[in-house]
Amino acid sequence: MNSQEKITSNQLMAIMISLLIGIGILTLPRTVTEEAGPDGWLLVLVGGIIVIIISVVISRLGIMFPNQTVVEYGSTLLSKPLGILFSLGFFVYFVLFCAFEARVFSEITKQFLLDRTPTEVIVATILLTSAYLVRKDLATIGRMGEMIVPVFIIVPFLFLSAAIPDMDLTNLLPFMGTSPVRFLAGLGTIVTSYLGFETLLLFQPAMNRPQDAAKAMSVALGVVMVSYILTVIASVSIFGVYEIQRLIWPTFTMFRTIKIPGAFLENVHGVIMAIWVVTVYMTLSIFFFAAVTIMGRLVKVRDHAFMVLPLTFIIYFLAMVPDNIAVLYEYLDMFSIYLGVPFGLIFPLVIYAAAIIRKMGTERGNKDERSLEEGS
Amino acid sequence: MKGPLKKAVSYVLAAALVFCATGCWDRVEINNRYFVLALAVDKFEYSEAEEKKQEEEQQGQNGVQQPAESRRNRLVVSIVAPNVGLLKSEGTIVTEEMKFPLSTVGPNTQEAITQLDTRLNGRIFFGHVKAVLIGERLLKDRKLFMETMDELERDHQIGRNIDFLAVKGEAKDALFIKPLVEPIIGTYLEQIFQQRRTGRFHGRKLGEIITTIHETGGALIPRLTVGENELKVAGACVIKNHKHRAWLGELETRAAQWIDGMAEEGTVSVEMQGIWVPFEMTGLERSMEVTKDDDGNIYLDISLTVEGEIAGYIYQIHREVMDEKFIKEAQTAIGREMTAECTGVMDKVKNEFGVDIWGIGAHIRKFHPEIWRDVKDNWEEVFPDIEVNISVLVNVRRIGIIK
Repeated sequence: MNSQEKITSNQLMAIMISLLIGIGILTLPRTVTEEAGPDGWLLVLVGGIIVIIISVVISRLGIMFPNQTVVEYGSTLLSKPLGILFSLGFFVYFVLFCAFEARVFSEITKQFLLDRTPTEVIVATILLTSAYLVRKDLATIGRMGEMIVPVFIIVPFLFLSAAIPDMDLTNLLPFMGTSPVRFLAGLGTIVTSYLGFETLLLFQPAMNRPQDAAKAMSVALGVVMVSYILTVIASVSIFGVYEIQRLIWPTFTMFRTIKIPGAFLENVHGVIMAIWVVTVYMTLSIFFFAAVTIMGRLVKVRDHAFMVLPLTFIIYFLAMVPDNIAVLYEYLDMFSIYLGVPFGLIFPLVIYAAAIIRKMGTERGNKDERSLEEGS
Repeated sequence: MKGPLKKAVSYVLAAALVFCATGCWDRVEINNRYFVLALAVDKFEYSEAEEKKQEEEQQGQNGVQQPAESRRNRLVVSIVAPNVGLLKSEGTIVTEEMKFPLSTVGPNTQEAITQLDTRLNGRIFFGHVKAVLIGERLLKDRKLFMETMDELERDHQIGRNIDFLAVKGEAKDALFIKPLVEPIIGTYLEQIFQQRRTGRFHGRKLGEIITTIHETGGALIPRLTVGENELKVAGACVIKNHKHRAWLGELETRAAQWIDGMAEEGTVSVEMQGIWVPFEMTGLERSMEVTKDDDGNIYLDISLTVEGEIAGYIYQIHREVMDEKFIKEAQTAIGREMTAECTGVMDKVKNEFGVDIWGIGAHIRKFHPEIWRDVKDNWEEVFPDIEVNISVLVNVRRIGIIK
């Protein structure tokens, strides 16, 4: 990977924003309302802060072990077999994530746009398109992200402002009415909607200034958190806490209710779909890239491109496993709890604890980095 | 990657491209779409009298026949689309009809629509539906009504910001008349809704009605009456426990909307010393206050603040309208009239029907969670017992251009 172009911290931000915003934001207003009723947005806020803290921890690891990814320092810290096992686990986790992303994408596209196009074709199309991007390096993905992130952050919220007259903010009352126990239980679910930030474990060495990672991550996660909160507040205030729990994808249904009076495009739904397709494409590509990177690091190859196509087929078949949408979302829930929480939240903290306890990295790492900078 | 392998892979990819980039399963030309503007659903009921009448009229002709009595024939579904060719008025020969209404029967809306598809040369498209009409008999059949509502909500093409109407009589009739003012039914209804100046119908959209029905099982749906060549939207249908409970008259609907803080415009006429004085409302604000005493009684204070102008009195009479004392009197009289109207409808809906159409339960849930905790499980029984006090404060601001 050393031969490849490095990414700037702006590109890392773009990568993280476009990675996190994907299929989760469509169901988010429903899931948080199921957990915490009208306090759902608070759950998103608290979850976001937790995730920012974890990502800062991850970026510390990256500074302690310069030019290493979790594959290398994981083996150093947790002994080689365990390290390899965890890396393989990460690989499986990323591959499954891609499969879910592709399948949910096809289900939604089929529901709203292409009702006669076979699922297989939709999945294959999006997978092959991302395979093309994944064969390149992270900087290419980063540049792509820089181009499209402004579009998909700004445009939806512009459209949303047309719905302000329909919003009833009293739907967010009573404030803090959820019992603390229920709220804490909800936190477990909400952090899974931020999953993806843990790819920093792999991407930090690709940065030209890895020491900026913490700042970039905080900004990126902050942007995602604000987008999530606005989405939740908007959809809860439009639908109310009862109706929202019946909608599978409240965020889409919300844009379905918006009509821009007198505009050429009365229904903004189509535009939102188009933007969303791009965000899913980015999410899928970055997870795909993470999977390929981790495999490449494990088997120590210089160029990962040859692994992309075989992996595309594996993801395709995995995506085809769920029989119907109910099963799909059941698997997705299980996946985020049993794989997402351990790999995204617990594992980084465990490694960090190991690094502190075994007193590895830290001082030496900082020195190395400084000398590296001076040298370059 | 070595040469031959690379070649093979690129051939495979190129071949894959053929499948991905060509041929679109979902391509529909715009002139092959049948843009439905209004959808009407009725309950199908077989009538022998109708059968006989038709037989006598048609005597061997191959005309329209009443569908047979069958377990499958449960709903009458009708749709109407504008003649897009005529609007465009160019190209091929088009018929002169402004709209094409169609109707059929089926076990559910979806299958009925599939049947309609077989009669059309285009594909039915619901993305532009402006209004959904439900017939009276269907409203009264709880199970069928709920099935229909579910289908409406589940369909991704039908938007939530469309009009939803309860039709007195058959909903189908509304689509088949030829209105004088605007020939295209869906647009006609949409325009009636847009100029909601009268306050005589409940101007809620499908999405809001669905939401309130889910939450409380009850709602108000605007009422549509079908005339010879016009449609009238006035009054409302009260839904209770997911089915039709009663009709509300025009004035009752207006008062019900005042309680809801809606219907800011409209005319209230009040009798003062034998003269019917029209008061034109220009603004209305509502506030609700809920209190609970130690015995567990719940009190609800609704206060309305109304603004407007006096639009008429009586020609050439010694007393002038431009007189503070007169205006004060008028304000009191108008306030009394509005209070009476509101109290009347509140009593009817609360005590007689027992439907919480104003979301008072939701108000308590939001602003008084401590009261809600005690009553949420038996809100339906508690609701008729709460004590409501309505007060109206009227401000006459203007009196027109003569003294």
